Amino acid sequence: MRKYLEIFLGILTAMGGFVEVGELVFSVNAGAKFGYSLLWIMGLGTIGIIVYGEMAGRVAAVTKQPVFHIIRERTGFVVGLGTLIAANLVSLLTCAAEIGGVALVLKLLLNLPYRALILLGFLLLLLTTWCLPLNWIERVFGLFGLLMIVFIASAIYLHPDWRQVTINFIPNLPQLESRQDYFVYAYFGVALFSSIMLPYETYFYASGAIEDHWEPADINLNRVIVIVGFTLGSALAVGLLLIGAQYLLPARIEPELPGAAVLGPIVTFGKAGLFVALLGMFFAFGGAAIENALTGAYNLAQFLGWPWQKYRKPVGAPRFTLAWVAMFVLALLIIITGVDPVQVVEYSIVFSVVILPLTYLPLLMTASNENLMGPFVNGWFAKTLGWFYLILISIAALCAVPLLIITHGGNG
Amino acid sequence: MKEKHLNLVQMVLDHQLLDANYVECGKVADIEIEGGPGELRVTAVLTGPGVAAGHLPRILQALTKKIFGRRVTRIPWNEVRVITSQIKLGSTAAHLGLNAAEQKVARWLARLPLAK
Repeated sequence: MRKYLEIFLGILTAMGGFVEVGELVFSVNAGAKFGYSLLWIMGLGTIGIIVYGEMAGRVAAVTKQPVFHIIRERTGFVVGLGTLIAANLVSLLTCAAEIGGVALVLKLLLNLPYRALILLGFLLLLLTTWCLPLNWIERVFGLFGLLMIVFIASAIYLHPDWRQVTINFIPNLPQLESRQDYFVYAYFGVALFSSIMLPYETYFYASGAIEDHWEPADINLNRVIVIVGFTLGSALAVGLLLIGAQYLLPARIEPELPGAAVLGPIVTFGKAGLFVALLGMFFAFGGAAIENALTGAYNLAQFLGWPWQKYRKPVGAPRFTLAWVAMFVLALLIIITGVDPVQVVEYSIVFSVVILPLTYLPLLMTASNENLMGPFVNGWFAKTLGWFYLILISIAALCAVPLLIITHGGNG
Repeated sequence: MKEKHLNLVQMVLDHQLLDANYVECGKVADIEIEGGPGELRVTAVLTGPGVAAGHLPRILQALTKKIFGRRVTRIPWNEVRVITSQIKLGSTAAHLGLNAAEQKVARWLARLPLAK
């Protein structure tokens, strides 16, 4: 019975923790700009994060090694340090953007000055992380993040063309007016793919598996959580894209702020829809801010060999604790300057795709190493999918920055 | 161990160090070897920011040492008890002169509520 409860909670928290501010913005924007035509990228990205999430969880359960242990062992100190700096920079920017997202949601709820709400959001997240153990943080933010289901309900209520929705899960290229439009389409494709495959998700997931003392016997649990949880989480992102396509595109609304997404629930469910959507966003963004702050600390501690688990009280893992507090403080200093959180997250997502190959190659090599993994080594299916996605990620990594420049950050 | 040869780069370098109480206490940043051709002998593993910085390009070495310090801790090879994916040592971190910074931060954090 306990096992089933663990699977159930695991699935729900994976689902509720799937969408963060960057994914929300890119999903709604993708729908508002290109209708359903980028849905196939969502399908592609979801399978990709399932493949590498499963691999990270399996490696953690078998070898008890989190991702940054593996990166340092496999690539050595110098390349590993480069990956660490890049990964933590991306996590820092994402954390800053999520705190900004929390403040924007609070502004819609409380209508107080934005900077005061940034401080309030920062303090709430810092104290929550200090006081609560990891599984409670995951459950509270993951389960309340499920309120985002209102976006799926709203998308269904807006009566999308289900035949077109289904067809657009097959790779396609829509008819666009100019060459520049095709570049913008490619930019959104890469950004959406990257927002689903954000590397922090695998760092955090593998570290969490070790915190929960997973054993090889938990590999099936890992598989079910990753496949079902991430697929359902992706359904939230699909709901957001459909709202963009069904409501914002015909109304010619360019969703520049995360708040534009709540127009869908407002139109369909009125004030109740607005309230539920904002609460869901608050917990989804807040959860992502905490995950990114902890991820930065996990990465640093694992790379340098410090005691690191969050289940320990702060004095039990002091430098690790100091590192996540520092991540929060630095993120606050970035976002309190007044920089647009959406712009921050857009840049962090585009740059994160550049470090994806450096994260996923060592993981793939470890999961395919029979000496380390024994009977739990990658089979032909996992290996083929792993290499396929690695090639895809490498192409996306090469295209990301040129597309960002050519399209002026997706603005055409 | 079944194998007659130990691949030091694959099985020791950059691996996690655990003290006698299974507390994480750094990474193997370098390996000290003595002797000449045919009679090479591992005498110690080295850890600490001073060693790790030495692997970086010259231009970054000074900056890294300035930020993280120049500490180099030498752990005699006879302290190494078990080599798996981690390197288990025979003494405590305090005895080996490791994790001093960890203890310093712990004392500071201990003054805060709910830290213990």
